[in-house]
Amino acid sequence: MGLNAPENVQSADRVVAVTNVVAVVLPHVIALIKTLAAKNQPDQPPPTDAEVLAGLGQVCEKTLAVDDAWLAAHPVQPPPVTP
Amino acid sequence: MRERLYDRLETIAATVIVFAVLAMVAVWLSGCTGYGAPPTLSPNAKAAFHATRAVQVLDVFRDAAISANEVVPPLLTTDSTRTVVLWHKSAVKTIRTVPTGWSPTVKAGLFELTCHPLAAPTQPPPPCTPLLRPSEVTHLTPYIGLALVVINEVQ
Repeated sequence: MGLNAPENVQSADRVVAVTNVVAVVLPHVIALIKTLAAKNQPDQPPPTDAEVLAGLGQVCEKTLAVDDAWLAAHPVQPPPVTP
Repeated sequence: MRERLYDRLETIAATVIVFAVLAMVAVWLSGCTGYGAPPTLSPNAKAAFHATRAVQVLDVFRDAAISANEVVPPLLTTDSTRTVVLWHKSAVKTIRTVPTGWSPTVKAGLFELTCHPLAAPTQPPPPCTPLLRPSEVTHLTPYIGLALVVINEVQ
């Protein structure tokens, strides 16, 4: 047993290295498979034409309201009147 | 016996690594091509889909300008922020009115605002004096770049 000690140490290192690699890689592989599966079988159906067109209108209304609110809160200052 | 087991483990690990790399490349490629509108949409709805993305990225630019104006000391003057907000308002109205042909108008406005070379109507960019101050353009450069990348992607 004593004669085989260096070989055993080398083998143990290899086992540790392989285990580490598998431990690091495997969760990523699983996550990627889940991602691909989710892409192939999406939970939500694709949006319809009406939904997309209405969505653009809603987004525009909302953001224009933000613009108007900011402009109302920051009116143009009149230039200072010099006597 | 043990050596053979380790060799087999190594083979399995190498296979897993190769598989992982291939899976990553596949996901990356599908992500690159997945930016487009759903294929089930009509041409008008596809244009609206892209226009919505453009409005959202212009919102990011506008919000960055407002935030830069709110910090103390302000990185953007109130007058410059007003210029950005008014430009944003005009751009959004253009996108809503012409969902299929808004891109040149919006890019021209952005070029007038910032003189960013990617927004230039011609290459090389014509001489330009930005409506915003150079230091203000510098602060907003990442957001301008982001907006232009998305606009060029969806146009």
